[in-house]
Amino acid sequence: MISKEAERGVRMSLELQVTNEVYREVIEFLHTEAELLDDGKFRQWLDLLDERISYRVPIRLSRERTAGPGFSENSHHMIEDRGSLEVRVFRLETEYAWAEDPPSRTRHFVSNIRVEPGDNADEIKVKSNLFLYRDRSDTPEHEFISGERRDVLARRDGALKLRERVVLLDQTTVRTLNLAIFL
Amino acid sequence: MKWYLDLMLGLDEEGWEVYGDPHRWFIHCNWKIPAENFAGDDYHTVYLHKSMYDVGVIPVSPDANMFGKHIHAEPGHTISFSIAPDTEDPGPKFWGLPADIVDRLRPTKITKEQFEIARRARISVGTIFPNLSFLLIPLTGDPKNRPPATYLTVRQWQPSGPDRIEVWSWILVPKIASQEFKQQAYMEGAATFSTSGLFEQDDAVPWPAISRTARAAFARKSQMKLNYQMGLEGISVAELDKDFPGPGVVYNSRYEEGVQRSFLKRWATEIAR
Repeated sequence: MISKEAERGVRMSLELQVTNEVYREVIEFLHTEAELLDDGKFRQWLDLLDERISYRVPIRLSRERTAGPGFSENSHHMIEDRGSLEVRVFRLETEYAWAEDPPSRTRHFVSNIRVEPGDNADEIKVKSNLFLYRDRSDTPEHEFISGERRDVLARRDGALKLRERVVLLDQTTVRTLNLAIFL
Repeated sequence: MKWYLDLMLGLDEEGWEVYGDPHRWFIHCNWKIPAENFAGDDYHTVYLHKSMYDVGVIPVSPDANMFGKHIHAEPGHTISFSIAPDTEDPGPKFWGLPADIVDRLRPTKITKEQFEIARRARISVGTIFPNLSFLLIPLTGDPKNRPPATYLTVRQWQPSGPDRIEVWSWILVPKIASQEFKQQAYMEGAATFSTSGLFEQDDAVPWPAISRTARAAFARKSQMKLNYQMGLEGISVAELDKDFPGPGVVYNSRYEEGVQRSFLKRWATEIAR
């Protein structure tokens, strides 16, 4: 008889133990994702998302150290699931999505990638830094968004999917005219 | 203006409460542009926000939504109502509040007349001069899976430099609603009117462009003027409604620009003091 812990250990080693190979796979996943977002291939980006994805961008607060981690507990710039993310993508494909027509030029720089085992055997936790350059229209301004991504990636039919994303922005007051883009 | 604010905020004895922390972001535009937009520029919704109807975020059709009132409550204080022609109309009642909340409303702070207008109300939007605006509306960020939920957004267009504003936007929910409804209403608010809001993302594009174009050399040299005549005598379908029980000057149909003129006249008056 194999104990539950042992069983879990065996499954982990078969699935998502953090090996060099898995680390490399994660890097490729994040780079591919950034490419799809920057190339405006949002339908293909949706294919990278798990059916039960949770996607959140909590509101950062400027508070004294003793007041906690500095993020609102119940307020978000974005609080999304699969259905609402699809609505965002499908809307961008209509003729009247002026927020992104003409589209922004975005460049997702994803770095400082750290990987650790997830809470479930088929999941891994990934932390990374995000630096996003955004250029719109023909105006002289450009915009930057900086933050930390805390992702959970899950193995589904052999491929990695984004199961959870929390983007911790460095800005309390967001310095871009809208978040019509994905972080 | 108080009569109209009471009508919304006094719908129930308990009133409304702020949910969470405000959305804050910067937009490179003149503060008067969003204030004027919320003062009652409904004309733009059918074109700028057409995608919202295409994907089903809003439960009122564009034609039906233009039916309603433009109210010049006091100089600079205006409100625009999308309101059903009668109580038999199948569209949202009480701004789309669900039946279990409507059944529990205790309108002790407002009159029967106010309550009957609220019954037919689908959307209301307005500006309290100079830079505080509000919008009471039922929307959903995921029409296939979530019914629209009603929320009230109150926003301050805070000037923070020449042609730059910081938006402070709060989402309010009925106090008597369940915690579950409050959470969903907040989620729909964040999905539609916020930093990332599906509706609002489209507004944030023309606002800077209008501010830029209006001060451009071409505009100055050609003495370019914006046509703000809708609702003036003989122009557009808007007609005075003399039977409406509320105070102020009231127009039928939301194809009317007197609300914006009211805002700008008040500004011109204040600035000349």
